[in-house]
Amino acid sequence: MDMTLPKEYDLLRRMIRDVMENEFGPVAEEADEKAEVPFDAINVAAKAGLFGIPFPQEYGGSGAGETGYVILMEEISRVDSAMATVVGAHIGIAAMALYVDGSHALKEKYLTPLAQGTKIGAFCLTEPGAGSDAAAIKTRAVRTNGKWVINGTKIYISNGPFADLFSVLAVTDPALGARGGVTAFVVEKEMGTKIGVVEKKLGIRASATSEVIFDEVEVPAANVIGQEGLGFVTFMKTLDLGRVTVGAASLGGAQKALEMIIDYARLADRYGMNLAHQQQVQFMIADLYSWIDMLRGQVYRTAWMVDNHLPFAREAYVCKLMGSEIASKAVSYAMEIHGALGLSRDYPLERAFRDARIAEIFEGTNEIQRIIIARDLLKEVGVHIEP
Amino acid sequence: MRIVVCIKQILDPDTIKISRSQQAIDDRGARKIMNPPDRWALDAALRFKEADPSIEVIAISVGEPQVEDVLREALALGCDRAILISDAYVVKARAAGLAQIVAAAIKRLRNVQLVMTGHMAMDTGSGTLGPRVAIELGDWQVLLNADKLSLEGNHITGLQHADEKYYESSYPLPAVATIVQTPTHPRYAHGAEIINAYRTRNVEIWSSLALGIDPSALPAPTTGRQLRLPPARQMGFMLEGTPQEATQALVAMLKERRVI
Repeated sequence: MDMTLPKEYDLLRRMIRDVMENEFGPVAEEADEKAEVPFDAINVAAKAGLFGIPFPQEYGGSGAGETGYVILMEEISRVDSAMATVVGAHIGIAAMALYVDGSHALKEKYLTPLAQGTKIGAFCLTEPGAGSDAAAIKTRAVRTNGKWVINGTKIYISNGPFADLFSVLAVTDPALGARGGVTAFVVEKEMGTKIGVVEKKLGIRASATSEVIFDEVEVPAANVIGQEGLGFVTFMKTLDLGRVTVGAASLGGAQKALEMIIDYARLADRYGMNLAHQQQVQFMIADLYSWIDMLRGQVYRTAWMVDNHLPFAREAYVCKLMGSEIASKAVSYAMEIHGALGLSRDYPLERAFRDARIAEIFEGTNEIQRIIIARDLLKEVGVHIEP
Repeated sequence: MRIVVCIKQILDPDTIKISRSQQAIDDRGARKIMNPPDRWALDAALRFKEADPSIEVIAISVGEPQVEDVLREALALGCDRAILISDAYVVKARAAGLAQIVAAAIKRLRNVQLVMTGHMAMDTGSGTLGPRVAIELGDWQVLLNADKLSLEGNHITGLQHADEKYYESSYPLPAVATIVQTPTHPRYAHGAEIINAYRTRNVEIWSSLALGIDPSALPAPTTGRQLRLPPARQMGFMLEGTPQEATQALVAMLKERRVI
């Protein structure tokens, strides 16, 4: 068993870290404050290939696979969690849906500009009545004169306000529903998508989230991702991959919080004693380190399974569930140790604290992750639980 | 036209520790990186290549096999070729010997018009490789400690840093240029180029023997006698009194110490 990462990944990590620290580090706080997406930095990141790290080079990617992708997400989150949402929505779900099931022609046309970062993607699944219960979507696609006409409203769409391409799930046969009656499409902004309410958010404020409205949007038949009727399967496969990287992003965020704790404990004194010398602080550091180290093992093992074409869905659920909870714990500990300073908007911990919460919610809430892990285990002993 | 960039792999100064005795460097856990001034030289060479794609940029390094990592980084950043001169003899070479080896490789390449390197290595800090290579190549001109480089016609022009002064200098090619930091936007390797640098591209391994170097004739390496930290800085002091009094006291003190 060889657990060493090939050397190209060291260099890849250093490049990504440089981009994040040089380009995003100086602007992250202001972008959060103003709730503005830092497009200048994003353009630099796109030129370095950051928007296509996992995809094959024939489609404009870097060819670094899932392993490269978890490195990307870990390093992004160390500096700017909002950017992890922008990239995660773009690569991890929007472009990934095309990569997972798109035809060669569809990949050439749409995955390539996404991977090159010349176009930004958004993944349109959630609706007012369908979030965790994804099978309940109402957005409808009807075939008319060899085209599909889409009607419906998607909500909480990351990258919605500025995306050029949308991976969209819509009902094509209500009688069949999720079992053969739901289809995935790739839709261009120019085909007539509209942006509705743009959310004002607690965290990840330098990413943009909005409604995406489809009002008689005509989409060519060739823009079906995978097979007609099997869109639900495409989207679920995509989300399985997305979960690995929520774990990776959480890993980066948690690691950053631990670094902040160690840095602060080393410098701050209470009651004439350095914080680092106080046992309750040491316990927090030790616990956090242990969880983070286990999370790192889980995330990189799962990425390795993806790259080696092994079944990985259950491991991915664990990445998402444990990653998001460890990251929340990490920022909570950091807040505890920093005291009032932690709440100050002049100190970056406050932003990290607000940014961490979303990871327990998006890409399937943690309650859903728990239900599915349990169901999967129980199924092995013949216990079938219906929704 | 060919440009050769000489690159050294060094221990990242941020990752080494000084041993408790203060007599040795503790490099356990230290990271190896491309000498930052060499990286600036590489960036400058690659900018020339961007302006004129007919320019071929070749990175050269000397040392142990693991030095190839900095050459793969150079490939990822956009070099056309990377050459590592590595054998049992060259790994022991320092300063003068190193310059002979590098010069032999440059002669072997032919058509090299410009040799670029950092103004010094951030570990040993001697800063002599560039000028030494120039001598070995037959007294090529040296644009020393320069930034803001431009390549016009058959000349290399740059702003040379010397103490507090700058000189704009221009030399005919062939020439050697040693580079100080130029404030430019950092260049990032593309993710795909990083992957390819390891998976599909090649670092050429040359040996000193093949370059016609007689190892026994190489100059003896410089040896270090002792390693120690500079003495701790003395605490400063405040001059009391009104601004006028303090200024007078300062002037008197500077005169006493013969500074003015």
